Amino acid sequence: MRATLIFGLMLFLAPMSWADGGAIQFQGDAGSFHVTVFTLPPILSAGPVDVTVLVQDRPKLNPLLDACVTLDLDAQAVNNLEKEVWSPPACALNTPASLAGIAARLNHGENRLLYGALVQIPSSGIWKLRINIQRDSVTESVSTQLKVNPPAPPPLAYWRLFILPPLGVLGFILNRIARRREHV
Amino acid sequence: MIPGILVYLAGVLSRRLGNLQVPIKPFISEFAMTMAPLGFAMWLAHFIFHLFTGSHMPIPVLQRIALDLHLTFFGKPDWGIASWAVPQLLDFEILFLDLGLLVSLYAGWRVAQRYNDSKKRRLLIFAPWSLIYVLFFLVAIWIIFQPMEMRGTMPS
Repeated sequence: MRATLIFGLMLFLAPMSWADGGAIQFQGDAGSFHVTVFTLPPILSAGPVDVTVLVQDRPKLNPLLDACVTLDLDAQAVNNLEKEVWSPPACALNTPASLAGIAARLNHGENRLLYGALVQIPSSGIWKLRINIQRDSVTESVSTQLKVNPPAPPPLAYWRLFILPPLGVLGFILNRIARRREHV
Repeated sequence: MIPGILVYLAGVLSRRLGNLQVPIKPFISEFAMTMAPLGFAMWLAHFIFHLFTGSHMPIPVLQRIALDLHLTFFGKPDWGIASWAVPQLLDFEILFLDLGLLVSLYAGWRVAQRYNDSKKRRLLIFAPWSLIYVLFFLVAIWIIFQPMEMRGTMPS
């Protein structure tokens, strides 16, 4: 009964658990705004990247939740733009039609203070990320450069590491056979 | 829920294949312990990633604290500070999981040996558990290939 209760409690609490988050790519001022840009994963690779933006007012650093935030991604020095990147199974997303004017929305992730969007970076290289913020009649923009690494190769590229367990099992079997022969 | 059900099914199948007359709960509990090496390997793989990618982060954090205390001689925090993160981190993570799987397989084999000395029966007792270890290993590999989140750090 006690185990069932603990298990039930764990299931109940699991959706509320918070773990990790994003890495700061940029922090600076844009007019009357103080802007912080986070990305996930922290080390960027071509493929899906979660971009979140914290917009604060400069004097008091209060988070502003009534702004309109869009993202523009421009290629600066990129490799193989035509070649489609490999994405991990859960992240294989359709590439968006345009990398300009991507709407970053509140409630995108668990942190309700951040404007966010999932951006599919088509290839590795240097990309310019421009964040456009509009609030009332004020419009400001900031830019930062993102260094994007080549995409992680598919798991099959790691075959040499996956061969260790079968080799270990084979070695164990051979060892047993050899020991049995010794006893006979 | 799914891992728990799978472990239970493995226990039932293992007991039936081994023709064992033992209570299911202690039987499963004993084999469940053999999964600890694989679990530890997964924890280690995850921990290593965070340790290396956030290796230098205490420095800007301390700089930021100092700045809040108006101690300006530490300078402005550099959130883009370098880290020990290398692309080969994933190789090490896979290697840890490989070793975890091997130790789990060996531990499972030893427990099966305790239940029956006959080679064929021992293999039948062990077989469902070995499938569980391999399945959990593959899931762990799939997980480490996913993008990993890490709030508060910045790539170098």
